Amino acid sequence: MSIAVPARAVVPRRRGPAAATMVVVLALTGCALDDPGSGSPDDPSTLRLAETGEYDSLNPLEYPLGITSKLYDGLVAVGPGGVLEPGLATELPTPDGDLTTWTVTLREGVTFSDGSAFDADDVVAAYDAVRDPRQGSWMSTDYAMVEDVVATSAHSVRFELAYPYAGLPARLTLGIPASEALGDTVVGSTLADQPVGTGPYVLAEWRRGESLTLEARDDWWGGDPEVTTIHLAFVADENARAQRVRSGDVDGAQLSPRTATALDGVAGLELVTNPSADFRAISLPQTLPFFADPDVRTALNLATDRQAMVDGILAGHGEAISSPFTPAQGANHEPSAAFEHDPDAAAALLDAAGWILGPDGTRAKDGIPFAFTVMYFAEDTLRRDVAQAFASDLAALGIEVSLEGVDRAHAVTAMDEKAFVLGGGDMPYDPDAQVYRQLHSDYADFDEDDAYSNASGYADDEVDRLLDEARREPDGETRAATYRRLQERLVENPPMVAVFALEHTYVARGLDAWDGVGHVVEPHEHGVAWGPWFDVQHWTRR
Amino acid sequence: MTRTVAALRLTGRRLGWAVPLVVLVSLAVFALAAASPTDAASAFLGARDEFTGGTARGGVEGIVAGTPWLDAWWRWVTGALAGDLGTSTTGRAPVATVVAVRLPWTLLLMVTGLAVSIAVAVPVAMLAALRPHGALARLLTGGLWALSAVPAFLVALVLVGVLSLGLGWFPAGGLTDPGAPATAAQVGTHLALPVLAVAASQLPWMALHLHRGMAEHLRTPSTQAARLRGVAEWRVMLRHVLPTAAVPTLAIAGARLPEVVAGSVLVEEIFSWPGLGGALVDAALAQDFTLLAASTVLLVLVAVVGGLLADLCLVRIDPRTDADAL
Repeated sequence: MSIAVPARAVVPRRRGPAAATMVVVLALTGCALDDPGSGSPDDPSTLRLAETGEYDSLNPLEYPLGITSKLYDGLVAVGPGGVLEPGLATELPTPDGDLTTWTVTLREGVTFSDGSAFDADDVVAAYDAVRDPRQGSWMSTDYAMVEDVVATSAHSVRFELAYPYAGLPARLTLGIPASEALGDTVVGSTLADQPVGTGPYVLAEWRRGESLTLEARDDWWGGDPEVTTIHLAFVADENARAQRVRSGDVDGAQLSPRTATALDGVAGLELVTNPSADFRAISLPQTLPFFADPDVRTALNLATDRQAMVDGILAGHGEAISSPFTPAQGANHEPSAAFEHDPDAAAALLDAAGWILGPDGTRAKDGIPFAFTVMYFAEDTLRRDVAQAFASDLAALGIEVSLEGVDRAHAVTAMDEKAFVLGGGDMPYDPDAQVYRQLHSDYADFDEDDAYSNASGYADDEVDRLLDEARREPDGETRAATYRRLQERLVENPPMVAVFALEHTYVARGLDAWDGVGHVVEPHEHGVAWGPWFDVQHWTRR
Repeated sequence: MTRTVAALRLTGRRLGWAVPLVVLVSLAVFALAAASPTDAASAFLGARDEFTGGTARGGVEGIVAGTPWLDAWWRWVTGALAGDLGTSTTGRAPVATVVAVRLPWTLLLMVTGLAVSIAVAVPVAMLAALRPHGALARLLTGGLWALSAVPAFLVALVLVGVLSLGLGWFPAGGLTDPGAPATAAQVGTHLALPVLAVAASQLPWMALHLHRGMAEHLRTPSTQAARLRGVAEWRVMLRHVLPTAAVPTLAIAGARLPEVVAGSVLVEEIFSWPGLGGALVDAALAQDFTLLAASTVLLVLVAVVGGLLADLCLVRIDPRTDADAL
């Protein structure tokens, strides 16, 4: 199958109702009617995709993974299946016995796209910059465990940590730019639109507001990519995106589950899905009188019909979850630690806790009605649907839920008194990054500047202990067992109503011409840098 | 000759007025943006806001939140006078670059769109005016009223559905085919659908105003006199009726020019047209003072120049117009 667009459809013909206006249009733009030069070459080494929106920046300090992984390499890379593998490091980083000193040996002979040589100083500069809040990287807090980064030679680096931390490799996926281009802040850095990295592709052209073109390097350390050109058109509107992929203008796009499913098998398109750690959950702020009681939180979890939400909202493309752990976390996920949908048991728990159904159909205790507000981002229809489904599940139990569509500025100010439809899973490649800030009591106190961390204000000594124990555990299997035990505790004393993990859905054309098209576990973020194309630099022609 | 001098005086007067206008409008932009409930840091971070820890958020705020609005305005004015429009936080690039890259595409789309709608509005209005109570006139005016009620994005999606997906005449979006160079042929074919969408949104008011004007002027003593002299009906229409009917329409068109530019947002979004509309919306949401101020001042200037051009046309078309009174 070809990857290119048929040359049809782009040359206007003088007939039909559009003819009169076309004459005017063409006269004004100086366009010749019979110019055949607008057809696309039938070149399989070129990939044309529609992206969900324009990138703000191509600076890896602002935009980790995704599109910047085509332009920059990290010390560690996310490989097929979401397994971490060495990138600019010769092998996965190795810790000392107590996990506070990690040594990384760097590849030699690697060059940046501007021709300069990559060495340990670039690594040190990148991690110094990302950790410094004044640089303005939104990830600086994520590197709080790193105390110092030292170049021990031109090709080896030592990370010295403030405390033992087993999950460091996932945080070493940060793309390394040429140190000279970092600038003082992310706003002032030229990396935003002039990326200088060691990655498989370079930025060939960025037409602001319209499209971006990547060209493969011929001196990438990982080999020569056979897909040599990638065109990404920015099409924010989903209908427009579906229409452009259908018309053959582009050969792939990320679409909502419903739209993607509808296009499966149409116009040579196939549906491709990837699992993700991208979850939605509803916080249960414990400042509200009813949520202080674990039994009430358990009741709400039992009352929520997760499978109905997966089937109804995601068209089946997702998995029910009962905590921020998702099946994408593999051995760290405990499938048995899950809530059944059992409204009767939920009602019994609420009765026992003293929240009795009143004559008006609403539960109350000591004159306090069981009524609260769930906020969601007003522009996010998925979260709105989750909030609505949750509200109707609870209404059946006599709990009154009002819904409130909010903007980001308002959401953070009210997080301590209103429930909120949370999104999570920005870094799924280590369970600590996935769950620690969501669950640990260190983040329980309400802070407008950190409102999304532990949004419920949840504190449980056992949970804290297990989180910290797993963080310090060098042995992978023991660590996974600790996380599985943690999930059992989270079912006994639930911090939130975790609802589902999404499956990200894409449509693609022409994949069967290639070997090496695989799947990957995706973070919260999605787009055509993910999907079947996440590893496009390694594809080989069939 | 005196009319030319008067027209020059009019031009000078209007441009002179533009200076205090720009000062006031830019002040208002800074004040309003500062008073808006949006939060600069969370707007800058977008979806990543949710994953940003406390200290990181503080750092971002330090970079994007900036100074009190009056200071920010003063810095912007002095910078602009020295030729430096500042750096856009949303575009992560100098404002001048962001505007220079995007404005030409918006202008191309809008000017072509207006031209097409004029080209269609004139014959449509004439047809309807010739038999004001005929079935055709009712059909045309009724259709135009209906069209004016359809939102621009819907028109755009229908155009894509029919002319691109259904008939395959035009590409569905973008400036060129993916990866093709921006040649006149490429841009021309990709311009067609967005231009039709813009034209469809401007056509109703234009044709309806023209139609009304024409219907009024169809039976005036001067047109009757022309007919009695044996002038052909189409000549009467073109020479006598259209110019008088065009006067109020032109005046409205000048005033509507900035609205046309600002209203390009949806059409640009549907067709991935790389114009200024999307950048403007991002800037407003993210308290990107510098970009917002620059583009608003630009729109003010478009309004002033649009109004001026309309009035100059008026002076030229209608000999009764007194340029000094405009």
